[in-house]
Amino acid sequence: MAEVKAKKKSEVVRVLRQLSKNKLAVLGGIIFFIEVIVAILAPVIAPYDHTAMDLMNINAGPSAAHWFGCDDLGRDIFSRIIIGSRYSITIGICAIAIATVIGCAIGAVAGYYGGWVDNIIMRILDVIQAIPGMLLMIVAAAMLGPGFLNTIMAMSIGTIPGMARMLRAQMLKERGNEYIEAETSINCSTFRIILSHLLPNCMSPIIVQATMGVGQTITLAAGLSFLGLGVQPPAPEWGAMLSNARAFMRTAPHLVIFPGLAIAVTVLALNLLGDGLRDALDPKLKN
Amino acid sequence: MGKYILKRLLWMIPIVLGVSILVFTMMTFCPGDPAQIILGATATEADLAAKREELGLTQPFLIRLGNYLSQVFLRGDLGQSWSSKVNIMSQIMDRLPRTLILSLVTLAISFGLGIPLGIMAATHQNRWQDSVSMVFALLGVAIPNFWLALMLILFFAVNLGWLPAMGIDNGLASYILPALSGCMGTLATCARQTRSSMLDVIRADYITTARSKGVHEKDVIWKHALKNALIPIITMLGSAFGRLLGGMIIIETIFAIPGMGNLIIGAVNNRDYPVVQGGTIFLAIAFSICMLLVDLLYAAVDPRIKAQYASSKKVRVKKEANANG
Amino acid sequence: MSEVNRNVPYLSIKDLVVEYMSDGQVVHAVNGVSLKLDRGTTLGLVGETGAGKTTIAKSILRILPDVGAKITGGKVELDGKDLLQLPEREMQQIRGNEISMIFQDPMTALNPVQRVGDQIAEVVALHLEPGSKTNPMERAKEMLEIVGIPGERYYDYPHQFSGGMKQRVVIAIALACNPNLLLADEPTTALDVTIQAQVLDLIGDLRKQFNTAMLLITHDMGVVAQVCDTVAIIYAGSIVEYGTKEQIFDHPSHPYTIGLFGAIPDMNEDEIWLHPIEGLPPDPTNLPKGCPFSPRCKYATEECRQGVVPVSETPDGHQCRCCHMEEVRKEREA
Repeated sequence: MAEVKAKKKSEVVRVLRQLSKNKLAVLGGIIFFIEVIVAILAPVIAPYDHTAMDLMNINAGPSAAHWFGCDDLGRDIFSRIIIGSRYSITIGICAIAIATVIGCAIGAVAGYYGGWVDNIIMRILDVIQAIPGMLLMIVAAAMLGPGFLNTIMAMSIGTIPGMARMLRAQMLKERGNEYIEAETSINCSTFRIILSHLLPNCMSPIIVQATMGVGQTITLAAGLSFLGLGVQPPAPEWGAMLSNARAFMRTAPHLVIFPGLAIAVTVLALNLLGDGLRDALDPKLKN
Repeated sequence: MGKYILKRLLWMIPIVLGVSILVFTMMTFCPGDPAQIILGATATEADLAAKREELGLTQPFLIRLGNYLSQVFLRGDLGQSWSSKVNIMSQIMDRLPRTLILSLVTLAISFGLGIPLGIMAATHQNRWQDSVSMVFALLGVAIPNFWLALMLILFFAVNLGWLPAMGIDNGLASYILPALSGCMGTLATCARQTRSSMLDVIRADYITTARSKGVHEKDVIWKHALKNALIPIITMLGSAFGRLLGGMIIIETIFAIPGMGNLIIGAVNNRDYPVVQGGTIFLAIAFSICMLLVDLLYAAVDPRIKAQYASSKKVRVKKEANANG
Repeated sequence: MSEVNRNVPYLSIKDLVVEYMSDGQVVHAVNGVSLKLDRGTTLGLVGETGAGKTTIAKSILRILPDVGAKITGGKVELDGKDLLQLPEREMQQIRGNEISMIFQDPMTALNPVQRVGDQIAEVVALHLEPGSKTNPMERAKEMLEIVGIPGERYYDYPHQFSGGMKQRVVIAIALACNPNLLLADEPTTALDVTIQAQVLDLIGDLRKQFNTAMLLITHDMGVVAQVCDTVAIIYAGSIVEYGTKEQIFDHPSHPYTIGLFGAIPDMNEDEIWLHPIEGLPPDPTNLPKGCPFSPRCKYATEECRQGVVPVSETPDGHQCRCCHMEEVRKEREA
């Protein structure tokens, strides 16, 4: 067991070392790390109270006092984006974490048992995936109602099928390996085989998909809020800010520019990190 | 081949049935009272009760579901909108073409530009052309389409005044900004996929064979390499179309294009469940047909897959292996 | 075609040097190789995997991978003109027409999404003389028949063919334009033993018909004995021994050549053990100083590791690159 652990540790070290050679991935990782820190410390970092209205500065453009300007109620946009990062990043990470756990459980069961269990699960996934992802999230958001937690749920529902399918495919590849037969022959319990042997070997694509998925989810959640179905104003969620800013686009374009930039930078950072992880985890895929 | 297509079309029936059940169930559990929303805050309790009775909301769930399914699948009737009383089928027939055309144009732009961009990156690997297209691709994936839509409106419609900001009254020009904002993500993904599969293919032995025959470098790339590199790109096409259809919902809302997205979002906000159900069913059908077309495209490009379809056995298993490998 | 010049060999490679860049390291793939080949004759290029044989063949056609590979020195003269200096457009006219190549692995050498017939017709169409009445499709069908495949299989795809048949198609592509020089890169290695002989015979017959010269790359001394006129033994990117088939087989002078003979079973003697060459080929990013074979050579002395070992040539043209040639030869004859 100790050997296995040591081997796993060295694998993690190898991946991290490989990752650290990729400058873009490191850049992405650093940006995202900073964003997470900012989100955690948001109330401390934000220069203004994000709800404080300054009627003298309604729709004021960027200035030394207000770096990103002020919105239609005179609230500091920079502070709102910083507070907003809490919503976006939490939604992204939580939704993907939930989707990964549930999706992997479904995919593992389907992939391990095969046969009719697999068949039923896959046909249900077929049905769910026949609905374009964004539409499924919209319907789910409508069912659950707007709000922060419900947005996370709606996002997870839309992401689970893809995760499940991916793990199943990976599982089918792994299941054919002889070491699984060996485990079965020495009477290891099914649960144990799945949890301690199959899953760890299927993790690489899941890790990559999850990293990229956080970025995609942030975009989709912002889209949902933009449509008025996700997080509701006055919460400074980035999508909700954009939705609110649309009305003032002609007179105060900075209201739409900065929240969008925040989304783009976050997603870009996560994609860079995800790309780097993919190359580090699977050297074969690297060009 | 014909048998394969027929089988796939027949398979769509249980899928659409499943989608109907799923959406109906989800809509039933939506919070809020549709009768209240339709009649407004001033309605009396008696009016509300009568309205609920009229909409069939008082019946048990399973009976309502059974009624709905038999109405849709046996009589081909999607019912009428709760709020506007208009026949839903005719509403969809009015709007679906706009959404489909917009999606297909967007898809065409994405692949029409994405593939050459990816090829340029691959044939100039590690040179500036490669870096520029990959930076472009990274940004294209990262920028949310609805924000890009706002930026394009700001620049081309508000500042320059070249193109209309919303509506469809200006013919083709009305569709330029929506298509541009919708295509960026797909274009970027396509360029990246093309680059990586092209890099795989141009190292293949048969490409060396082609060079050794004296084929011009341009033909080596466009005639020999591209067709092989297309196979993983087609795999991407299906999911890209799904994302695009989903993205169109937001794009249509921003540009006030009276398409399916606008219809569904409006219905969601009005608790107009039959419209949401009908719209989702039709988008699912459109999506499924596109997936079938994608699979046929596979066969057109790769004779090995065509042979599998023709033998029709174990098609699913092999295809999945193919998509993953 | 230009006049045949009796004094100039048809193909002459002089001091060819090829390098690859791999992960920032320089791979010394070919280090100063010189070869000659006359019309209609066969030169065997023998050596282990990774010795640089395929790189030499690809350098002649200039089809080395764009990224990383570079011909850094030498000349490849065909009828006296240096192919390495030709503009790309003229080179394209030579590829597949004047010189063509058969590849090692028939399973991957054919384009999987193109009909096999079209792949043959393509090379014909590319090199049609102006005003020629040849129909590429007809010619492709004819070539299929020549290599023993029914012409109506023109419309089939590679996945419908067996490995041996694919290699026949590759041969048909290579010979469709009656080339004067055929580069055959281990044409039988990937095939079943029973098919190997058939394919070799086929190549031999067709070459006789068209008087085609051939550069045969192989690691199989048996194939060399069967097909070649002259032989070059290559090790770590340089030629260690070079001569006629008789010279090499009857009087091998380089320890590596002798090692190669030791690694094939001799049916006439009651040998129980094969004698493999000890050790592994050197790392091409870090070649040993002096003779590259010295780390594995039982004759090796300080002298071998000093610097580049010069080539010595007997009056009848048998070349060998070894400091202890005399000693080796004596021991061998004894």
